[in-house]
Amino acid sequence: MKPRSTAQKRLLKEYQQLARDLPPGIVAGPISDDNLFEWDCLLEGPEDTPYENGVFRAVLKFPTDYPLSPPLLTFDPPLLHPNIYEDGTVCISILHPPGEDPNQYERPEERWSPIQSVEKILLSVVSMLAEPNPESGANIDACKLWRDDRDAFCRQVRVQALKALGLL
Amino acid sequence: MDNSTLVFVLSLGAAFLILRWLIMPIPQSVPEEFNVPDPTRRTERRARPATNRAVTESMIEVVQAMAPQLTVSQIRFSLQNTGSVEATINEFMDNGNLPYPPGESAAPVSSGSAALDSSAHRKKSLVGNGNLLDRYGITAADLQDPGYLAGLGRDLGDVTQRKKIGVIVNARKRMEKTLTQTEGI
Amino acid sequence: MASSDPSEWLQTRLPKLSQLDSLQRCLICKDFLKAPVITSCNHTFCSLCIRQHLQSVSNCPLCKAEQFESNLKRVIILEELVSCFRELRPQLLSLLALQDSGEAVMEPPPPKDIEVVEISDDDTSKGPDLVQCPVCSKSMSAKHLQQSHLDYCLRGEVEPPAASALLKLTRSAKSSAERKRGGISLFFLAQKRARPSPPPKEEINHEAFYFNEVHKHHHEVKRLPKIDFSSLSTVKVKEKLLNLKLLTQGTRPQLELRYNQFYLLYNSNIDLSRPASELELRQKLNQWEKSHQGFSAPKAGSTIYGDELKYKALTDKDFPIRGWLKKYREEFTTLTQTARATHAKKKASAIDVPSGTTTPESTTQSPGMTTSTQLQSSTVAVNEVIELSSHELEKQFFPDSKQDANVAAASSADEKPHFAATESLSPARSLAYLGNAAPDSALQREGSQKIAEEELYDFSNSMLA
Repeated sequence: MKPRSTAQKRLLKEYQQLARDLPPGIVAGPISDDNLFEWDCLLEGPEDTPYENGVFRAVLKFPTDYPLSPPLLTFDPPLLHPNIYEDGTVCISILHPPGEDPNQYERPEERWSPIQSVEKILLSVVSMLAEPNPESGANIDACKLWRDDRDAFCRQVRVQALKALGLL
Repeated sequence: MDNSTLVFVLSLGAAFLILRWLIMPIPQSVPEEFNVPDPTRRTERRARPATNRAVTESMIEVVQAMAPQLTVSQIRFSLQNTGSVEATINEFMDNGNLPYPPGESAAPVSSGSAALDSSAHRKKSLVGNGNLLDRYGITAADLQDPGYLAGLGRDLGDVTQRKKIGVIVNARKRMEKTLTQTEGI
Repeated sequence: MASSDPSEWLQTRLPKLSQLDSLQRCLICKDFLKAPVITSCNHTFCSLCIRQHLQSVSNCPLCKAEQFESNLKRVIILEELVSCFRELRPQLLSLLALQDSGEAVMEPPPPKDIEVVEISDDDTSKGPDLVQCPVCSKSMSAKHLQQSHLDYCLRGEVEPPAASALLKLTRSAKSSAERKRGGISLFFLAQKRARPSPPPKEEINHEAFYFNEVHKHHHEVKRLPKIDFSSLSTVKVKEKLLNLKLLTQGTRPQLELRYNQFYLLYNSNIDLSRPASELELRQKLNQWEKSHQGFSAPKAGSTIYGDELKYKALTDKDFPIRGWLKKYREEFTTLTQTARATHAKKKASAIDVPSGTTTPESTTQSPGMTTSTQLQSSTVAVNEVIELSSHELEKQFFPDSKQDANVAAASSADEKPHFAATESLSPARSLAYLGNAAPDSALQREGSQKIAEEELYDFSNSMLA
């Protein structure tokens, strides 16, 4: 067996642990057993949000020096959300390495550190879906829509959710 | 314009040039824009030394930031002639383009449009297959089959994959239910 | 080495041991603490893990308190504790394993040596720690096999039914549980049925090491110093590598990487109670080099995630400028074109408002005025363009010209903008060089003169009409 790097060992452990007790509404795992550095995740939209009943797919790309550097999370297909860029890249504090934009975030505990885990990342993404953060907007149009015309925002999200489930 | 102003202006210009000479050892070529449509103004022109001046990468990058459509060799050639980023930029503004170094010809413009197409195409493919059913290989028949989820165990060794398909199918059922409910109302 | 997990204790009679297990693990690598060191904020990590982390960020991963590598301290007793626990772990797991739904395990005498029965076939559904009797091929737990079954089997007798019933229950319970867990249990099977750790070559008495062999606690080995590469020439760097008997091939960044990695391995090795030999360290370094992407042919613009440019922030010091420019080249040109177009439109609409006449009026202006008005409008247009591409450069090269936008400009402002720009920029810029307000006012006066001239022209036109 090829000697595993620390990143591979750690990713394997995280996969095992996640598979053992999955948090509700989250399913995640490597796309293939050979490549532990790319994971495929399905997130269920939290209740009482526009994303309710929807299932959204996201891809996690891990760096070679994980867990020293954070992974990248991209929604594929891209999702309408004030904190998700048009190409699907997610913008949340836990995925930012410390030292970047210190004025934006007050608490350094929210930043990436080697003790964070895939589970924490996905849980914070789900909470981000439930409560968008208008202060650090990534998709300006979505921010405006969410702020000014909530109904239109909900409608568009619903359309995306239906498309994903093949009902539209 | 009356004479005193003109004299004043000219003396200031002279003072400025002298200062520049003193500060910067290599004489910079003053841009030729002094021949404004005012014939009374005196034009000054300094010969452009054709020596090779030190062209740093950062200088090239700065010019590129202003004019991305220029090639590096064009920028470098111009920088070597003028010796300053600002003079090169002026030349670019004058001509809309920089002279090509000897031995090169204009690059085809089609590459730009091709790149544009590819980026648009790339964007399209990202949005393209939003359908999770296609992505996970769930066919319409599978959705009708009540024993589909239970039967997955034998085909798929991977528990996670099974769970994912389960999530999608269940969510679809829930969504269908809510749709029919709202339609009923 | 198969990976272990705290959750294995959940299926035992003492599930709380999972806490004991996970507390002894490093939070960074999730493996058992190896050469544990403690930070100034009293948190513990593997020496190698925390040193690697401190290479990029100078804080504690857990509480973000400031932390420097030199302040790390070994925790000798913790190292011995963890090693001791790791040695005991397999035995503890099997001793405390739940046999079935609640029935107590038969009291086995504490085994002096570890069970040696190896399971050969991989896809048996007989369960993880059930072994086959070599005589009758029945499967049962290893303990049961050794204690009672073998005796009966070798004597040719049948086992008492109570025992065999228990055995059957055990087997079925275990295998159904196994099936329920499904495929993922393959990961765990790898641990339970793997060849149990061979008896250690020398029994380490951790107690004795800690309490009695105090002289062995401190290594007199000197640590490798941290090098600031920016002040050293490549020759010097190679010299340092040679002193350490490391390879000196490769590019300068590769040499630095090599030194830094060896520095990590060497210094964290010193934190071990039983440090590895230097040969082992060099082997580890070689392995790391082979797999590290910094030593394979790098592609332009590649990052640790792959080729994507977008994974670097604009403020990163190694942001790939050239790649970014190349990628967004056409966007730049489209932006500048749209800027010019919108500005020309703005100019055209601005004309109509003050003069109150239609645009054909402007085309009848004299050539001289046209040029000057073109100058001013195109100056503003060009300024806008430059603003779009680089704000900084604009400040540097072009002054914030307060051109009078009210001046009637030809709708053909886009015609020969560069030519016009030459003439417009030159007075503005050269005057800025002079750094005097007087020239600005001179230009403004010139502008206002033009306005006056133009208004006169309008008036004369209206008179004639």
